[in-house]
Amino acid sequence: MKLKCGFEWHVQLDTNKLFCSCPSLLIDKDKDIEIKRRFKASLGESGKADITASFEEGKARDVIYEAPVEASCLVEADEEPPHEINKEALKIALEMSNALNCKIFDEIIFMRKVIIDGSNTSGFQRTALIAIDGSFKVKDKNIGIATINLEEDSARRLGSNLNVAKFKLDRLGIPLVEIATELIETDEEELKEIAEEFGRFTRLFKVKRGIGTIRQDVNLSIEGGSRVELKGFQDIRHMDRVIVNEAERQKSLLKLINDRGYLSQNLNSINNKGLNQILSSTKSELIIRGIKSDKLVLGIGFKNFKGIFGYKLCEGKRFGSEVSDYLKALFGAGIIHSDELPAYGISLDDVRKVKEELNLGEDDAFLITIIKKEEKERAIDSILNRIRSLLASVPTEVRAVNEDNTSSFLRPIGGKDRMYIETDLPIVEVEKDLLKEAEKFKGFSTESLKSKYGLNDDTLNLLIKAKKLDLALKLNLELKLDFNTIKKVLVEDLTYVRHKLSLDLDENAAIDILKQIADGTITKEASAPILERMALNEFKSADEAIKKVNLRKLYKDELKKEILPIIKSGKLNENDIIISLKQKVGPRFDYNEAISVIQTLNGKKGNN
Amino acid sequence: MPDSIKNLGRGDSLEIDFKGTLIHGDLIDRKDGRLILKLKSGYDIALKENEISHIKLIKKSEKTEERKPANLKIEDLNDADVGIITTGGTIGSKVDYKTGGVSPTFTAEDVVNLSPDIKVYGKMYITNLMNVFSENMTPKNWIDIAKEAATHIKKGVKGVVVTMGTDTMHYAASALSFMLNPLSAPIVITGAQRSGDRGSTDGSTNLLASVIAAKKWDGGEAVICMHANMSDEYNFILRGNKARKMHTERRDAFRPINIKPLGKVYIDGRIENINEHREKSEETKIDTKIDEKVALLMSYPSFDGKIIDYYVDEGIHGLVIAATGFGNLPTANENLIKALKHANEKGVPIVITSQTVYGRTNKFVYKTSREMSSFQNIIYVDDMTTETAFTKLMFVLGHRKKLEDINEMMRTPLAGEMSERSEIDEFLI
Repeated sequence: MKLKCGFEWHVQLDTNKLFCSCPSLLIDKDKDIEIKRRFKASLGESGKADITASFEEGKARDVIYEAPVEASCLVEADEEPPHEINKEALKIALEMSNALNCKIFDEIIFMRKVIIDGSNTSGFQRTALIAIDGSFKVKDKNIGIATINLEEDSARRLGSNLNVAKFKLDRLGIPLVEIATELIETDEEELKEIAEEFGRFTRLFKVKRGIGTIRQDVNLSIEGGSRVELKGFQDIRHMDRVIVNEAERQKSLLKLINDRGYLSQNLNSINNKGLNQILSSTKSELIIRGIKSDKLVLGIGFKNFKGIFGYKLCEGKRFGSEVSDYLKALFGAGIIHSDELPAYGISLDDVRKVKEELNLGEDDAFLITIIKKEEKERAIDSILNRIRSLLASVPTEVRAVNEDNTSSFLRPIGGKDRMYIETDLPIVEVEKDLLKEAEKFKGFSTESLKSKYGLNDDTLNLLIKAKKLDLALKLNLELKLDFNTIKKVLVEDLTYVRHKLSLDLDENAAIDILKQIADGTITKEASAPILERMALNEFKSADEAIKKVNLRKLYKDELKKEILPIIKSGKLNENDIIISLKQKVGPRFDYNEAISVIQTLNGKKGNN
Repeated sequence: MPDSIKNLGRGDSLEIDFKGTLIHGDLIDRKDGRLILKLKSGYDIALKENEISHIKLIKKSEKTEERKPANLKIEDLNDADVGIITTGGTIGSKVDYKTGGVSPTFTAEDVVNLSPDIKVYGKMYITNLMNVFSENMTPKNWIDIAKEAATHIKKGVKGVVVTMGTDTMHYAASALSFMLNPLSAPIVITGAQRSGDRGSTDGSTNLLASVIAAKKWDGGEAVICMHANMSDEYNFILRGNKARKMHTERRDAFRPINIKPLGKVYIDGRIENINEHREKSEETKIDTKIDEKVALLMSYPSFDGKIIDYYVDEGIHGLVIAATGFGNLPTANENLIKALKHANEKGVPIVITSQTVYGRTNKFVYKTSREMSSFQNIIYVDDMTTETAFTKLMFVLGHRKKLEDINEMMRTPLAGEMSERSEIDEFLI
């Protein structure tokens, strides 16, 4: 299907936090220091409360933070101003910007982006624009990169119960590079490919790996539908499914609007009643709990609405879900509607009672929500507004991607009134040296690496996966060794030794070995046995090992001395000689050198 | 630099060529050879003027109307439940969102916007008395605040809230505790560690808690009302002359020294009394006679008293020295002894406190301090804090001239600034 979309990728960097020296670690512990905060709605830059903030006013302002001391400090607790920006994070961001052929600002201004759902302890996110106008190639398609930002990640949501949101401060402050593309004309298959290729691209740099370390948001316009922002794709493999479901949802909603949109006129006179009394003998746990905790079990009746709430929009979503998700976002409470009953322990008899109470007939429907008594007016308003909006057009909004490949309303799309300058930080002048170093990354990509260094996919992927690409490139440059050798020692042999002996061995040992190989002191076959001895702490350095154990590469005349007797013993075939040589001296010779010696000796012999 | 740059003004819409890409933005500021622009996305960027090759004015800025403060009815003082006096500081600061600079004005509307829930507690009379950062506050400022507060109380408010910067809040609070003594209504002093433009500002709950305390607390004292811990649930009510800012930046920076908090005030309106405190008196008495010629010193290894000589010769009327330990000075240094003698002869009182902050000074335990006690002008003040000793000495010197009278008044508790008992659970709380 034809789509227009823009990506927004958020990539976590593998460095300390952006504005303090805490490690960027996720800590899962039972008990942490707890901090309780109450936010006030703050005014955006123009002095008007911004739309999103007013929306959030409907949400409770009380937030609980858990602050693990291993990964958070006074900066995350909003008890200390931000420190100077993390230079390593800036460096990586500049490298990425160059690799994406962007135009980079040499002075960086951090802004405060107002966010009051509690996910930032200060009530805002610190973010800065660092580059614009670049491009990213996927197969033959050139994707425009609009902007690149460097910013801090938000706190980790710990699941919110009614009215109190809970977050963990370990994730707050981890550096993020945000990369936003221009609008792309594409389809759902290609979309997935682009996302996957981008994922590969990011792993060329020092980024965090694993689930949740890259978050993808997609700004989507489906032909004939409305623009929505889909936030929080964590599994790219299902991206196309999510898009297909979203297109389906929009299409179905449009059809409903076409057929039954006139029903929004009925919304001006609806009936609502508290149902605590008449449902007092229900078997539904949900209702019982609500009544017990002194909440209002609110019932709202809708004339001629039968089948509307239960109308299927796509796999996993009905019209009722759209209302429910919206209400949940505002009040923490969803809805139950008559089309899905009996269910949740609510019996047909209960349904009859409610219909009677709300004066409803065969063609009508009702919904039930359980909220605080004082929220009644606001809840009714919100529900009616939502239904009106859904019966008029597909609402433009921000939706969260769910695990079942559907999406749910998250919040309205924010306006511009949300940013102002961060006054606790000076303008960051990027050092000329840093800019120059980063320029080397112009055009850096998997393709360019493969062609420049003659790397094949397997080797490149192996090095990326082992997070050793950077080091490998450096060693290739300094030691003039080929990538196969580097890969063997640095990744394969090291892993083998660690695995076989269940011992930890520093990668410096492998680097040591590679230096010796480059010097010609040992062959690459000797690397694994030497690493083993080093792991067992027999020797502190490759040098020592080589001296003590007889694994030094044989000099040419020594090689001759060893081969001659083998030939004399009657072996003529080169391979047979090599095998015998190996049995005799172990990994102390280079195959090609040995062959050359054999041939020379054979030649001589032949001449004799 | 293209000529066109010279005539640009704030708010002008510009088109600029940046490394081959055209950027559109509004001019926010020009400084240090840079143009600061705000892009449509809301982000600001900085471009060096001498690196701009092409710039085009798209639209000149319109003179925007100064946003008139909404017609907020601030009640007549005659009617008010609580008086709020603002004096500046972080809690009294407003950010100009476009430039990031601090706005010089802070109106009554701004106060209510900071903490709209204060309206629940009745009619507020809000006045902006001055606009200073507390590190710049002077004794004259304290006098002005005392006078304004007294006026409020006379008109019948249940309590007065004073908002100010936090750096020297404990100095101001001590001074007020002596100048307004006794009190028929509490003076509740508060501030903010986090600026008010952000959703997380502690100024919001601090102001609310202080209004609640001013209206409902049954004490007649000058108190500091700030966060008790990093959470927003409740604040402490601390005796102003026995409190101190103990952290540069934390919300709970203010701690009680050598005393427990007097009470807790919750943002849901509850007040819990924790400790004995002075009750409201029948009438408030104001006395702002102080002598500002007092200096504060801190002793240290190799302190030799030269500075004491300097001050005495300059005509100082009193000195406070934050000494070490129990109140010790390096009396092995002959020059120090000479200086103390000199000060004594000139009739300059020297009040000794301890830089340990906590604990009680004692002049008998060590030989050195016994030596010091031979001087008439050396005054030990038990568990009084250094900052309170400083403001109290100013107050005392405004009322007494002779050394023995000064000594007597310094050693007599006037407003709960000294206590006789050191309770076990008063350390590091």
